[in-house]
Amino acid sequence: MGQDYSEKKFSVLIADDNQNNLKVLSAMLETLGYRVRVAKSGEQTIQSVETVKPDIILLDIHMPGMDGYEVCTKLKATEEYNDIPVIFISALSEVFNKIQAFKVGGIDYITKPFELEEVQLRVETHIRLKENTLMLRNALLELQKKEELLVQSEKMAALGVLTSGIAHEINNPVNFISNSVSALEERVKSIISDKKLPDSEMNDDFNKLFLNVATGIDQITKIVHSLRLYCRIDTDKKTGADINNLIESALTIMHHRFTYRIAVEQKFSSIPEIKCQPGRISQVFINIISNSIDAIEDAIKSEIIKEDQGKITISTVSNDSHVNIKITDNGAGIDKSIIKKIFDPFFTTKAVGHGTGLGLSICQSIIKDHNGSIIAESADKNGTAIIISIPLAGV
Amino acid sequence: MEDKAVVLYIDDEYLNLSAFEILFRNKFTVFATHDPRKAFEIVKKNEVDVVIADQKMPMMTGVEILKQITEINNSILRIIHSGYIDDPEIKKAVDEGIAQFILDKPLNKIMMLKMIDVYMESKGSRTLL
Repeated sequence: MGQDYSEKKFSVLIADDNQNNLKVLSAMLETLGYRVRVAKSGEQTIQSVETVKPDIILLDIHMPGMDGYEVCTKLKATEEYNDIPVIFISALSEVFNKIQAFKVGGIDYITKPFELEEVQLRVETHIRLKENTLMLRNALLELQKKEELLVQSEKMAALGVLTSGIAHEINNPVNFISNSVSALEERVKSIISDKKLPDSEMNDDFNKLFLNVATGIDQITKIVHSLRLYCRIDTDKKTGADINNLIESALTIMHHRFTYRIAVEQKFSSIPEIKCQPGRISQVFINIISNSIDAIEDAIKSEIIKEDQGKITISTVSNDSHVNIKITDNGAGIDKSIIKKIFDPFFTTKAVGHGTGLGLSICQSIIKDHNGSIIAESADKNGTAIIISIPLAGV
Repeated sequence: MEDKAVVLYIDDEYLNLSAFEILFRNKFTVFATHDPRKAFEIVKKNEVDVVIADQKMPMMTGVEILKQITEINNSILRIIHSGYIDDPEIKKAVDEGIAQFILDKPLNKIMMLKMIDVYMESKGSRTLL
């Protein structure tokens, strides 16, 4: 992290009640290219800092009124000034408590008589350290911002999966309801115009068509119910929720991805409500079930299993302290060499552009926020089990 | 109508198949299946006039199915059925002639009947020539 300091003129505040010391040090530091200001007492030092914040302070310990220790304590207690490095000045002959100097926040000390090179090196070192710290802090802030953006984009991706799932899940029943109503209309019209009771074939059609319509309405109702849950996907509000319901909603939303190829077995036992962030917990289930479906599709493509043999088993149980959820699939499985990495941020086995590599890492952080744990077990080519445990006490 | 058009409908949702079959069985000879392999078999064994394939299906998309059907018999009218007509795969398929028409989902019956009518008429006049 190279930075050119030659351009920038750093300012040094020297605080000393001894005129002679001030002169010597000022002259020395000005020759070295620093902008120098002086203060003759503790009070003046504080005032000077408040007027223009210096890059570094050389602070004499023994001054009338407020002494160096006090000045330093006060500066370090002020958020705006506590990053200014303070170097204490002390005469070799004076009583000087190094420990106290460091305890009140001093970063270093120099002793009189001054040695030009020593003063130069110490001042330079501490200014550089401070600048580097500042740069590191800024870099860290940048990184945090970027991470937030990525987490946000993963959330948006999850929302994308959701909305396209919902669109498909609603559009589908709307399509067969609409076709069924059309067919019903035709038949009713023909009955009216022919003034003839329906024959057995038409009766059969009526039964099927009405069943279609009822099933479609039932499907849409279920989806709308599960939607209420996902309105809260972006909030951290904690409410009591039934984990079994959350899983069922996730399955409803993803129904179109199962169809006839993947059988879903639900082994739910009755479990108490837990206080949690239901939207975020649902995000975890969607993510994991979605991975299971991907793994099964991979397994079918590479002919590890037959086309209609995909299976996902979801079980929930609770004991005195925890709810345990196990999601098992018979998909392609995870290689031993990578299973430890799957919860790492940015680790992905999917093709570029498919997934951010943050899915499971976010799942892990959501579960950790609930004081729970999430682990994966897998044998290569032999399916995967994800085991989640959340304390009943909730968050 | 003596010569009913033979329509093959492919969709992964059983209830879509059933509603479609009941709705159109008086107008067309309807084959309906969720299984792409069965669809290919039907095309091989029957004189299918029109195939309507849902786009978003597991394992094979509608476009992929239509592409294979062109290899079996490329004189069949090929229609892609989808709720997402902006899907780039669909646009590309239309540009490349793999699909000749797009039908929005939920189904616009009148639009579909028009497409099939026009096609059957043009087919009839071609056979007459």
